[in-house]
Amino acid sequence: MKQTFLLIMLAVSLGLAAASPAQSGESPSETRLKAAYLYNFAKFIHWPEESFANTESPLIIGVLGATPLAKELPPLTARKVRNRAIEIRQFDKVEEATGCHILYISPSFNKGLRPALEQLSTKPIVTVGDQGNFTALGGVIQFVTRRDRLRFIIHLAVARENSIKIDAQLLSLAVEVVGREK
Amino acid sequence: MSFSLPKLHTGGIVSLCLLTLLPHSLWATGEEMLDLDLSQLMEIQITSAGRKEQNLADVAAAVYVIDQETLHSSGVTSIPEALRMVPGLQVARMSSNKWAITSRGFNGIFSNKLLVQIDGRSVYTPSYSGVYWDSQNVVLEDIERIEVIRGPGATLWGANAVNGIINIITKQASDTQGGLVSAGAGNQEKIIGTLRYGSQLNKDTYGRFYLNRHDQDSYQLLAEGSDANDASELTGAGFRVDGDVGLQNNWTLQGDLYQGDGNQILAPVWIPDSPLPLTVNDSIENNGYNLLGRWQHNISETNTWSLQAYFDATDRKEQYLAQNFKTVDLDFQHRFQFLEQHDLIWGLGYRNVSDDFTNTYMIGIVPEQETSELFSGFIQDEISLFDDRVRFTLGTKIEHNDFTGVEIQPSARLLWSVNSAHKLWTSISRAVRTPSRIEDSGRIVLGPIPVPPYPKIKVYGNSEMESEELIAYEAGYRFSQGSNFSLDTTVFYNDYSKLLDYSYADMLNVYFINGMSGHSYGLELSGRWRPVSWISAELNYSFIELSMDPLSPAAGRFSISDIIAENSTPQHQISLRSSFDLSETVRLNVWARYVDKVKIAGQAAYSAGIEVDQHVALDVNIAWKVTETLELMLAGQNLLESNHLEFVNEYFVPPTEVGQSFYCKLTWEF
Repeated sequence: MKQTFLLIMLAVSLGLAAASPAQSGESPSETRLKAAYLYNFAKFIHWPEESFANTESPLIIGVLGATPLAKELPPLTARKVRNRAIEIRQFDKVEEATGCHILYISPSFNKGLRPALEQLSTKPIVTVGDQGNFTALGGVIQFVTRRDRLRFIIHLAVARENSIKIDAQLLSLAVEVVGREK
Repeated sequence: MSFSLPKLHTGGIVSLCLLTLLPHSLWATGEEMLDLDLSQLMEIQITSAGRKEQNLADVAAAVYVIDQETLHSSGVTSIPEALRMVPGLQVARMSSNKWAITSRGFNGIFSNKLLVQIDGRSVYTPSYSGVYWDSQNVVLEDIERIEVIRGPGATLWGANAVNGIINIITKQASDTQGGLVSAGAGNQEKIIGTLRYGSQLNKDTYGRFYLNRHDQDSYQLLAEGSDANDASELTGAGFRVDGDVGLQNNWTLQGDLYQGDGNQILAPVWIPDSPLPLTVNDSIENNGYNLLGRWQHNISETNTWSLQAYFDATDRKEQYLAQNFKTVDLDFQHRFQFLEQHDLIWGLGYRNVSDDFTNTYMIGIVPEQETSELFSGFIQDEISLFDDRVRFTLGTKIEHNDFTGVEIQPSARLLWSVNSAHKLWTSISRAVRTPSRIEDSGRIVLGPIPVPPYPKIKVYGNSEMESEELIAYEAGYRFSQGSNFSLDTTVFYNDYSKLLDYSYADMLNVYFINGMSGHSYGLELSGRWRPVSWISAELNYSFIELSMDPLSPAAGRFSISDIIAENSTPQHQISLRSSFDLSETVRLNVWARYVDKVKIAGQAAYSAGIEVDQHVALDVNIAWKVTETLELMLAGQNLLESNHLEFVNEYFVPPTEVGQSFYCKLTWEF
């Protein structure tokens, strides 16, 4: 009986050796999901009028530091948020980024997250990041992973300091809202 | 998940099989994804590259894990069948609805040295210290993993985890979103049906429910080849809800309800004043429900506590006994790191079991109703030394039960990571099995002596019974080369004392006593190999030798417990499983098992002079993914022999042969 079994195994192995099933299957794109989040954040966030040159000027989404997310952002430029076009910009230095509305700070940005966030504080910018201490260091929105899903926490006090208004609907979807007034 | 934190992490484990249940939106292009709103984005499951792999290589114990993919590929239709692949376990089907499952010897319907838990809920029956496998209803598709730890786990899990623990862990509700319907039928598997649906209840809460049904046909008797009348039906329903509260808390609430009907032939059945054995066609009615809640609070990455509570009710009626149990269990665990090198975990537990028996002439337990309490506490410290190259784990459990008082079960474990490829571990531990209600205060009619007026021999419980004790010495070696080859070897030496035996007060009255000591040693080997991406193979081998000494082999001693213990375990077992991805959508799974002969498969087999022959079993199935969401499986089990005997039930049930099974199953996810 054992011989029979071994023969079957052997035959199957040989017979199939020629076949080469390619294991493909695109891995789910977390960065694409982040891009969609950034677009959605924009819909629920209100910036002070001064942050726009005029009623026609675009909403600027910036990326600080190299990140694969940069590749996923161009499709956003085809969309509009409250009648404003979306513009995508890539920055290497914090000083350059002061004019944008949403700024994603890549984990690869190695010139110091804390000084960067300090430099950007009180400016009407929604900083977004992945680092575990992002909101603790003064960031506005931090991505977190909960149950294998991409979620976010919001630091409301920082948002207020930056003169940014966040809709209650967005707040209600956050895993946690830090610095909410009691 | 680390070995040292079994219960806490059941709530935090992440599914290995994420991709199968993803919503379609995941496959959306960048453009399409932009059209989704926030709540839809929040439903999309991602696989994070940084997720910590379960590192079994770092566990100083003999651990084997059956993951969902393996479970699915094996083509099994129940948990006991899946356990056949685990090295060191002895799994034998006694009839269509009865199993003898043990770890490292002492098999039988009353295998009492193996603890089994489903999501942290013990399913070990305290009346006879064993598991009624026919009433354990779990949706196989919802199982995340089955962890099997051979050897004592008493330090963490408590009494009765003498020779092993089986932890059946189901997926979190967040990992079973969407619908699943599976329907199958075959000659032996009359109906396999499952409906499960999971959905996001609100932004932080996920839930699922299931309905299932499993009907099995009967086998045939060894003697006449006639119908063994052992068909069964099991219907179940249940739910699980998992939620998060902020960043630091998560909780689980789950419950199940089941109702089973099984048939059995009982022979011999004895009645008062008659020496003649009767044969009765009996039915087993079993039903039960349970509800479990768990709250976990993460103070930090290295500081976590959890509180778990469950209620479990089971009811089982058979001709010779009706049993009803209600269990309340509370469990608290806290794990934290201190001084960088210490990973400490401690916990407290309380269990309250109320039983209610309906005695018969055949079996009685006195008093018929009793409530027993169990208090327990444990502490374990895992100390990391030499840059984490060596880990020394020291721990003990202390518990108090109503039968034997205080039991102390310590263990010491040492793991040496020579390098990332080679690991060595060794351990010494003590474990006990506490007496069951039957052993404490039961009465069983064995049968008449062959002399007029044919009075009957009875076995009586003994309230002086103490716990069975084990000191176990284990050592293991693991080797892994990338993900393509791994080898896991364990050797053990078990030193038992105060094992259950029988003592004859006179010709007619027998008592349970702690009358036997003994030892066992063995080797368990598990090798995995993936020569090319589309072929995987696993070879498992187990060897065991048991040797028992009756403490007082006085004249007139009729007990044969020692020779049964020595001869009821197959000495050699081999399992060879392989999977072939024939194409992107078709997978062939082949599983061959060799089980050595069982010279004396229990008391009844000894009396009848039945020996269980060695056998080779072959299971083959082919799974075809017709579409992304629809799978068709054709399976054949026990293909080499039309019928074979695996074990003989010790009491009442005549020897039954396991037959061939062919079935076809469709699984649709939506």
